[in-house]
Amino acid sequence: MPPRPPQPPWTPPEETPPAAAPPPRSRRLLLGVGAVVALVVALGAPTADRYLFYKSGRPSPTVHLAEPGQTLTYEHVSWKSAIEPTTAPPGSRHNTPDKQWLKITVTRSATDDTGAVLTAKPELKLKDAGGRTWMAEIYEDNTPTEKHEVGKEYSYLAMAVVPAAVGKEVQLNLEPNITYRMDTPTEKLFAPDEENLDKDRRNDVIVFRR
Amino acid sequence: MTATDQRPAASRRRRAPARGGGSKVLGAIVGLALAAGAVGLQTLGLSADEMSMPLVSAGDKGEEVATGRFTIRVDGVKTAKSIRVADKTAVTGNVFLVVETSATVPQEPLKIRPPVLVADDGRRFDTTDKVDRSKTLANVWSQPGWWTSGVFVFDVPADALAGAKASFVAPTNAFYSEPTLPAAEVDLGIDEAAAKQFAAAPQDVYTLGEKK
Amino acid sequence: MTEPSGAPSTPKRPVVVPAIGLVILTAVGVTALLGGLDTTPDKPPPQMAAGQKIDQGLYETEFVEARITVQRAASKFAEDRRYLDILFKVTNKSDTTIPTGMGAGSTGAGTGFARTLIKMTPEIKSQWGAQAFIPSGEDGKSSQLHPGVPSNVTVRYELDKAAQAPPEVALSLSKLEKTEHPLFRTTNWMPVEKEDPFTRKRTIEALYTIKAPVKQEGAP
Repeated sequence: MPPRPPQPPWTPPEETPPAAAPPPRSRRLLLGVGAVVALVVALGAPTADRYLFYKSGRPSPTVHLAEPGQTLTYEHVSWKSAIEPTTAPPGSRHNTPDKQWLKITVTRSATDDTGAVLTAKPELKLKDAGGRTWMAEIYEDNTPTEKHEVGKEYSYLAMAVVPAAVGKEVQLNLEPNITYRMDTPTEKLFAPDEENLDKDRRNDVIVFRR
Repeated sequence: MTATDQRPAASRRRRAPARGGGSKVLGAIVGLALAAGAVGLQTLGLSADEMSMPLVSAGDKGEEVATGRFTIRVDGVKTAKSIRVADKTAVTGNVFLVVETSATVPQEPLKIRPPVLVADDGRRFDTTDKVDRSKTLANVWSQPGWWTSGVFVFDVPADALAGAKASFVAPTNAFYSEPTLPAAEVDLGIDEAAAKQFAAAPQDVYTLGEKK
Repeated sequence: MTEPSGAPSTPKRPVVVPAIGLVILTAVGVTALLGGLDTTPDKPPPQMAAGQKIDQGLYETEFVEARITVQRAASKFAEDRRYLDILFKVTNKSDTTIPTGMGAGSTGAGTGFARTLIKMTPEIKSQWGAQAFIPSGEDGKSSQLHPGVPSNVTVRYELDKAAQAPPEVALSLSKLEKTEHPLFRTTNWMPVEKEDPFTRKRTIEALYTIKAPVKQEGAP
């Protein structure tokens, strides 16, 4: 509850002239509206405050669209992807015909020296038209642990399971990490990064259309 | 309670065309009653601890209990004296309560957070750390379109069994706390007789990690 | 001190007032030299014996024993490790599970039950403070104190290879109280503190002390 503003002690008014007519209807209406507004604000303000705080840590995504087969360059790195159907690995928990396994290849290349050190693994998800989302897990990482070579292509291989019905429809959603630099000294890893403060607040998603 | 404060002010204005002493007394009584009501309502206000509690959907064992973010179904409940995971065996002086759980989500995939066992007397037990968390449902992505099954294991005294519920709270970002997180609370359906049975005759070994 | 009003020549009054003043000054001075009124040494916290129940607010605790434990090396290349183990029987009196914690001996910086062990003499230094756990079965361990369940907690200090095992240890335990956050009004269990009247510095108060011999390696 918000703190109540201090209220002056109420003193009964002196006898007002008896000539006053009953309050006009509009004033009574105003009073009612005031009460409703006060109630809404009293309940809504703390909720809105808490929601805004929560949202400050989880901004809405900014979508960057990549046309089928096209490369998209964002924040010093070029991204490309391909999705192909595949069969369930033996012994998997998802090997029924209502599920479709997909093999995803993501290719990255640095466009400049900054891109060469932004080497963090992206997060991969698949999304259908209705917004339902599935995880794609990277099982093969062909990127080097050291600095990337500018212009050279490196790949990640990932697997995902989706319902067979949406196997041809789901689009790859790639969330790049645009702040982690592999050349950051270890002791500075947890220091607040003034330069990247704005970038830290971003939530970028590259959507590869099919 | 800003809304209720408005009323004494309203009654003051209505008092202007006073007809006599009687209505003045009546007005005073009504005013006092409203003021008392406003004070009384304050006690219904939620404390800070209560404000941070989740928004609960309740259900029973075997039912699908849906929250906006995930749906939980408790398929079965068992007790055991020991839990075998791979070549390791966890033991207890109390009893292991194994909650066989399935989960799915409507939209966003998530990993179900280990539930809390809420005993009838209000005690809240975390899942046991004697069983590797990676072998529980907490380590598997629950995704849209199908159910994912696994277990959660509690290490509890026998007197916590009867009437126990499992409370599943949605996972959240630790730094930016979220107001009114959704939660599913499932009554495990253990009555007094079942609790006695569970406590008296637990399985010797419950083996984890084997698909059934 | 009443005097006849008609005796202006006697110098009585001018002597009495400074004399009283001097006495007061001396008294204050002596008190100050002795360390003031408030700083007489605090009553030492009650000494607890093994098997006695201690009310730590959040926990009901019983000291069991202190002993040296040796973990034999698993292979020829590893080395034996020696530990000083302090054994307690602890019941969590809240209604939620609490970690046994770590950081014993670090004056409040630790977590869980371990942080209530605020001091041990002799001090055994380690990077993170001692760790507390509940042994379970042959090699299993848990770090959870479930509500209302009495558990055997071991607080373990690793001893250096060269270090002599202490013959005796003295332990100081704090007490936790349920307190409300002044601003957010949320409730939390906080250690009972005392305030230094001059520096206003607050420190965690040792409410119980335990002195016990250390059972040496090989002793029954």
